[in-house]
Amino acid sequence: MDREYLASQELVETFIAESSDFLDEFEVQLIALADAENNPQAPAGATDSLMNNIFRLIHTIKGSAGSFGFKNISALAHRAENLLDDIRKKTIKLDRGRLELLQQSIDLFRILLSHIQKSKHDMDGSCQGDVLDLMMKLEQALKDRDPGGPNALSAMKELSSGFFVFDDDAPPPAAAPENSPSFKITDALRTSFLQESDETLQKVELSLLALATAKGLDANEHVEEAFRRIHSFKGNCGFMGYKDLSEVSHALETHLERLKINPALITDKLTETILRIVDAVKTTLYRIGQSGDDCMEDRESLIEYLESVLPVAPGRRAQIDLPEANAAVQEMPQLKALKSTATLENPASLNPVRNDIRVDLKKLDALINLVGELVIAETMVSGSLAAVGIENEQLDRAFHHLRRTTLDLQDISMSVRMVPVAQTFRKMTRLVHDTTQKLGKKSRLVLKGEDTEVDKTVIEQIADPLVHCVRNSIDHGLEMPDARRESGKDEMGTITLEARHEEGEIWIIIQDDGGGLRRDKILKRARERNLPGIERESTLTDSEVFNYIFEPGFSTAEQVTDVSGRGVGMDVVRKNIEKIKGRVRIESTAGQGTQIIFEIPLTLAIIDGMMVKVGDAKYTIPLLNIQESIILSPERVVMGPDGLKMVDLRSKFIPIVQLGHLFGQKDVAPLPDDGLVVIVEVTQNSLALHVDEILGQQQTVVKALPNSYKRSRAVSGCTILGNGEVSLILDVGGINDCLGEEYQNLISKVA
Amino acid sequence: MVKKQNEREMQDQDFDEDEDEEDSIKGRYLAFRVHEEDYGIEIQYVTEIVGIQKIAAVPDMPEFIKGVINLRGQVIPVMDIRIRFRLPLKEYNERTCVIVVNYDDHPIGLVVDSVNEVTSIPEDSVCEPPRVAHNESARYIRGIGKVGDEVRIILDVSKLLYGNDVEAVAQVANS
Repeated sequence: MDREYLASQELVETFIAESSDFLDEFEVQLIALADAENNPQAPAGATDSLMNNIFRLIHTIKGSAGSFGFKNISALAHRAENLLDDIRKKTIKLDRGRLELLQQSIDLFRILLSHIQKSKHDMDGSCQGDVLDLMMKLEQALKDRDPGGPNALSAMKELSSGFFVFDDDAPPPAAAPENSPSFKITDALRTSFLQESDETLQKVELSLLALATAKGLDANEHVEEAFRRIHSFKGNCGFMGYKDLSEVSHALETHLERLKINPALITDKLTETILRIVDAVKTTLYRIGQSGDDCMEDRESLIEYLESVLPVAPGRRAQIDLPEANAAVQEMPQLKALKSTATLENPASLNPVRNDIRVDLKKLDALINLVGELVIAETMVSGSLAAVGIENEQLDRAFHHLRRTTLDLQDISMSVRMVPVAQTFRKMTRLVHDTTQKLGKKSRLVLKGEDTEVDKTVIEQIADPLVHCVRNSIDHGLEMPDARRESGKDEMGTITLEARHEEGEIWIIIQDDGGGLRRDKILKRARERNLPGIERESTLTDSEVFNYIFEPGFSTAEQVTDVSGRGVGMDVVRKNIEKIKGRVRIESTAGQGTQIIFEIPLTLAIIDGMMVKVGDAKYTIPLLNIQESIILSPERVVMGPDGLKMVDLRSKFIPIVQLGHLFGQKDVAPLPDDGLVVIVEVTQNSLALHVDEILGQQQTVVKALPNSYKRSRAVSGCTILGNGEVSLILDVGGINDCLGEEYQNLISKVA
Repeated sequence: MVKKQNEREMQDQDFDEDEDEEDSIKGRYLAFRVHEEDYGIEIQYVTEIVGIQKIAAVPDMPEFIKGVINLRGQVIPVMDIRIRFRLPLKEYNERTCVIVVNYDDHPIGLVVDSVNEVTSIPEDSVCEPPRVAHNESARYIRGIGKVGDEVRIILDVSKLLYGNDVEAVAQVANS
């Protein structure tokens, strides 16, 4: 039978997304397991549940990859599973070498997944060698105990023939738990199994129901889908040790497989029967949820009944006799009973509660957009009523109610975009593990506040900075174990990642208990590179000194390692964090460790801004960039040599920017020597923006500018005012760049 | 389907209301007036017509893009047809309209002096534009349509929006 079929793009994408999640999880658990195994004090139960989780994950990956026809992944996963199985049975140990092999497999899985994303198959010439190589190594790792195991040659054969027989086509996994007495199903495991199964079965039902109306190719796809789901359900049942369920689902799978081969066998009667059985399976699941009892007394009659509708010997009786099947229904009292239970109990109560849904981000953005509009519309309506001068207590109350509701609605719609940082944090587990190993250090990672929620865009932006900071902490922060012992510290260094709400922001804190930043070293390097501010060296505060490490190309490392030391990292950290309107702060105590703190606004969708008026346009300046605003007086304005006016602010000369001029308006009045300027700062550069009036501070909802034409660098977006007008949000960094260019032009003209 | 979502802001003119059928879009044009001249654009690109509102100027946009406006929460660029055609500018008044067109999924507003009506021009009454370009607007013409004794200049929406020389070159280079 050919397992390769045209999977729809959507299914493949779901597969990729799910598998990536599984891999992330797998990675974290694997390292935890390795730690637990090597730690004799760890409670015995801990390793077991970890082991089971890991096993289940790899099994699921194998199963779904197999049903999609991704042979490389499933073959690799199969071997990893074998290895893990033996580790689970305690016949071999999870030592360094094996751990590394498994981690390599994870990396390779990811590469293969990305191939699938690109080309829809996982057979890529460039990594085929790696796959085979790794498979051989995995089998080698098994061989210590089992010399008779399948050898690498068979792996190659399987791949080249393109034909696969999975070990789990029969239900032996069901027996596995009984063989290993250490196996324990935790409540959490059971809950997630129930939830997952419920979803799976639901999808099976949907496919079956769709089957009734679908014809030809469509029908095939539905059967395919149902088959795949049942297959993975069976695998899970087997793993959980629910023998009856896995037996029934095995029967279902067998039948669906035959339908797959011969779609002509599909009849309404048959789908009806399968649905009934799925119902019975659901009832059992419900019972498991209630009492843990997994017994399906009627399983044999169900299987028998299924076989009577679609006999198993396809060679002789491919044609089914419909009247006979009808008669079978009447003869099955068991099924009747089933019918009655199904109608008796409210089906909704059978479902384990599932309380999340996946939504397309575009839909969410549209929703948030509309809610924002609603808030504006509400302001406009109440504003215009007030302008007309209508006063009515009842109306006031109604408006008050409306306002509160719309604001609540806005809060909720904003919170929908928030996701916990847990996933991003957990990805660091592997990084810490690998880096410390490579450097011959010892460390553990402590995660705090993983549940803290951050806007999805923010999450994407902090991943890279986190990697750099964690790497730096391990490479430069933590000392070698010997040195740590000498200074009276625990040999094992600690890296702490923490997320928490603070002052209306999210703080992400990366802390290590290493040697701390060396003020003298940083100053020495800063002197060599003659960085700004170094001339008042002795008066620099610690934080000013530490800020030097964010300079591009700054590194105090004596030599560049493959981990860090090129001086690129911290520069990237600051750039990324500034991109999401955040700040980076460093605290460090010599000998005790370093803390790097990202202070990030809760969401990118709203910023605190200062509204200013220039001519008849209203602009919004992000509050983050504003330092102060001052009133100009002629004696404070200085004409620079290049004709640029500057303001003298405590002996610092800051160029004055006329927005109208910058924005290419033709009839801009010459810059007056009085009026207001707002002092803004970006990357250590100050500018004075000349404005006519400061209208006040407010929270604004950021909207993107249309992208059909070239985007201006001086504006980062726009916001809609209470009266429906558009106000541009100034990008201070961009203005600085534009100005720099203008300045360059000026110089080249003179020259 | 023609989406005439914003009826309330439509100008007080006599529109045919029976164009909700797919096939009735073909050969139908929205007629508008710029600098004493009648133009038409294919109705299939037109999303809605709104009255003129305050336009926020955006720096670094092409010269003919006057700025952006807020269209029910969506911020869209607006082009002043007069600037595009290098015509003398005129104060906006209560007859000034913004025709919102959607081309290639990019909404954009066109500022015109006034909007007249929706007319049908059969394909065989549309003739080739004159080869000799006597003014800037000639570059954006798709054809000349005859309605009775009158003549409508039918504009090519894609050229109008993106017919910039630089972009045209880029497009050729890409294809």
